Amino acid sequence: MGIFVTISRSLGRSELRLLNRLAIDPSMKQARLARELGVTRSAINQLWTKLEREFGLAIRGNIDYGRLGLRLLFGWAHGSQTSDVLMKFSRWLKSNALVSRLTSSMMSSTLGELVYFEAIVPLGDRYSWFQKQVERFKKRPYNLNISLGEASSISHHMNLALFNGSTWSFSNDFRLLASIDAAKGYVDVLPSVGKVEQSEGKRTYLDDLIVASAIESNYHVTATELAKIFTDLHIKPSSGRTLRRKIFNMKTKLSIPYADLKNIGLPQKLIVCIKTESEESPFSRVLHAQASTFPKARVISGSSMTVLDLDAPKTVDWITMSQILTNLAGNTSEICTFIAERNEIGKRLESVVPTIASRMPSGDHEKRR
Amino acid sequence: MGMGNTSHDSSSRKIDPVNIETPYDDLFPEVTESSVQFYLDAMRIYLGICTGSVTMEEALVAVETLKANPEYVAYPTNPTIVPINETFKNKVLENLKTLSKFNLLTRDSVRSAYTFAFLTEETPITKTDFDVLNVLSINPTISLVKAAEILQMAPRTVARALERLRERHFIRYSAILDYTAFNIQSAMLFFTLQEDVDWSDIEQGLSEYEFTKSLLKTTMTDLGYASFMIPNRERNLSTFHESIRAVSKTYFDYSSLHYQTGSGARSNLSLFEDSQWKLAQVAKSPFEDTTQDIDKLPVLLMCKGVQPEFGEIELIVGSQLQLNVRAPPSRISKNLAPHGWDIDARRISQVIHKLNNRSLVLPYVALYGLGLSSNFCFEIVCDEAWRDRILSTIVTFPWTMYYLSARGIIVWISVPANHQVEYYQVFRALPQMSGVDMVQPIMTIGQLGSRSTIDLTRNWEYEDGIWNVKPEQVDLRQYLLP
Repeated sequence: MGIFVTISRSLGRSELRLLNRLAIDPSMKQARLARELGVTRSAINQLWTKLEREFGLAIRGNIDYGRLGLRLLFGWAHGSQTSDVLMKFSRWLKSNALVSRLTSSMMSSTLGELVYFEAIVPLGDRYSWFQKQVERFKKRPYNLNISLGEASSISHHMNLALFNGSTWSFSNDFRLLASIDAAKGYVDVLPSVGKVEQSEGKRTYLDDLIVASAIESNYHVTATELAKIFTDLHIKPSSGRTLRRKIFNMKTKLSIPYADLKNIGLPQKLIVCIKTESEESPFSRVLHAQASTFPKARVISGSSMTVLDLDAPKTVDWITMSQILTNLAGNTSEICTFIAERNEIGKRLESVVPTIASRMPSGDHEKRR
Repeated sequence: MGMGNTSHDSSSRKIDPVNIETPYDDLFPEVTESSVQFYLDAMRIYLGICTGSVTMEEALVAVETLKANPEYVAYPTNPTIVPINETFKNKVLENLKTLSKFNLLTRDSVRSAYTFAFLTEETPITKTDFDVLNVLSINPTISLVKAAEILQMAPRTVARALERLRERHFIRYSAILDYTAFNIQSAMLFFTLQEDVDWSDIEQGLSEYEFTKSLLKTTMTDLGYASFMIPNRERNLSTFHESIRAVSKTYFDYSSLHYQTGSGARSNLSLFEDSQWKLAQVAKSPFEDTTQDIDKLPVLLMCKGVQPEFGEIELIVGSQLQLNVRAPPSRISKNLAPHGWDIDARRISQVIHKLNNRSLVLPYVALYGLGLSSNFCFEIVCDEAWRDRILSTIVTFPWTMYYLSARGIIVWISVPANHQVEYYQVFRALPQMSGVDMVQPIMTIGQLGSRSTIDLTRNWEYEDGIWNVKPEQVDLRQYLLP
């Protein structure tokens, strides 16, 4: 039923073993994986390289942007079927270098169009400027319906237990509904694996930003690779020892690792946007904790806004799933769900860094502490 | 449609379940809300039928208890018309266990436990079964012998295939009825609520209104609809119309009323190959063909208006054909008996003949299974030329049903999940066309049932083409104060 369209080949048993181990502890390096799986280091290396090449395997860092003096702004906008205001708004988002994510709807629960967006914005002038620009689109003559929020928690999830190497056994049935529904009762004690709370940091230091962006893209970044990133940005890197210390500090203080894969038979992108009346919605906490029931998910939440960003097999019936989530969110929530086209923008912190750096007073990174 | 606390009865007294024993009684929790008990009873009745602990007659009596519950109008739930099979039975049991495991006893979760048990799963269809289905989709009332002749099979083989189509693939043989012949007007209202209006109030008002046939509103989309059957068109429609207008002003932001002028249903099995649905050609480049080809228009049942010699009996027999257009007259006669109708098989056979001769029924095959899991309803407000273009396009989709009115066309489609975006895009392209004023979608996870004609008309008496229903009775304002 189209599920194999984007999967280049099935994953083998040993590849799955490696990935399952990584899914449990994404911080594992190759040497430890080899030891735990009882195979040679070179065998693991071969598998890893192949997975990197064919399935984009990467261990990435889920970052506390707040601590870097940044804010992850996220939101969605509704457009009517006949007006081109949404297109203008999208165009503005596209031209903005701080926008890290832009996804348009292909099919939504209303006939109108929707866009979902994220921006990584440093506090200060640029933060208020970004908000003002969004406000401008909300007012006349545009009157665009936009919800904008600031992320307070971000989590990443991948449930390889549902994957046999070629197909996903995920079904959106009553069990899914029941398990999420039941979790609502235990929201205070639910463990949230893979969630990073965003702190309220005020200042941005350029070299911290560079180290964090490198970790975000590759959690196992080496001092040599990091030195090259500094050089590419025309900044003289510190010594190898200092860089190693920085990497270590950043990893422990503001990031947790997660495994990322591509082309694994999850071509359908579903986005669920939820807006609740109350600021502290238990539903967003439930989603952070229970999103691991989905094949691959990312949850972003802020006060009164939550986004569930799902990668699903093409056979998943979006309407049933939306219906389940809508029921769970309850009638005090405003919910819109859509099937998305491929991301028009899908960037990481590393692509935003040069823009932020260009506006910083020169030598700012040296004046610190 | 909220979580949990939307029950109609919040006293702490335990509610007695429907009086049916099943081997699984220990799986049923005790509850204190009648709206929760409603779905538990529905599951109990279904399990009773499956295990043979109740007869169909006893089950039908139990269903009457369900119908007395206000929950019935909002969510017409009739377990006696669900196919009896092991898959469904096991899913009901599994969901009951899940309910107690997670201790979920809210109306929404118990209702989901019931409805999700009957969401169809795909089972591959055999060539024989498919060939039989193909013949039936062209002529749903064809006799076994005739079908066997066309297919060059033994009639017994065809009969067995029919049985499998019903049980494994949830195929139903139904019919559309021209209500206007019986002096009843079918109407559909699409609406969006004003911001400060609580849906549960509207839902309750519409449920209590005795002319409501079906209701659909999910929290997923702002748009909802209600359908009505209004007797005595000439006498009562103006009051009905006026009351809808007044109620709309108070409660709705958007309100659009369609009076049925015709309808039809169609399946396109030629898209089904090697157990998979191909995408209909028109979905790839919809509405490109500017010249209208009259041959592409499907057969429609147009509303013909009052037919004097068609009365209550004809309506009741016709309503049975809606449930199963292939039901033999003797079965219909038996089914009608518990409702107080004593009509022998010969008379029923005559009535069916009369209905067919006057073209007051249109038989069709309803495909619920076969992988058609995505269901949409679209309200399209458009001119007549566009109505025909839309019609000739949608009849090439896997399964579709359409309801015509002077305002435009209402369309239900069932498509496979992996083509849902493509079919949806066809409708999304429409609002840009001149001649099309508005397109609004509603998405559902299953085709919902409605209050049956026999229940709706139960208290109406019919004499000389007039029902004993007065204009003040059809005034919706009694239930929803403007």
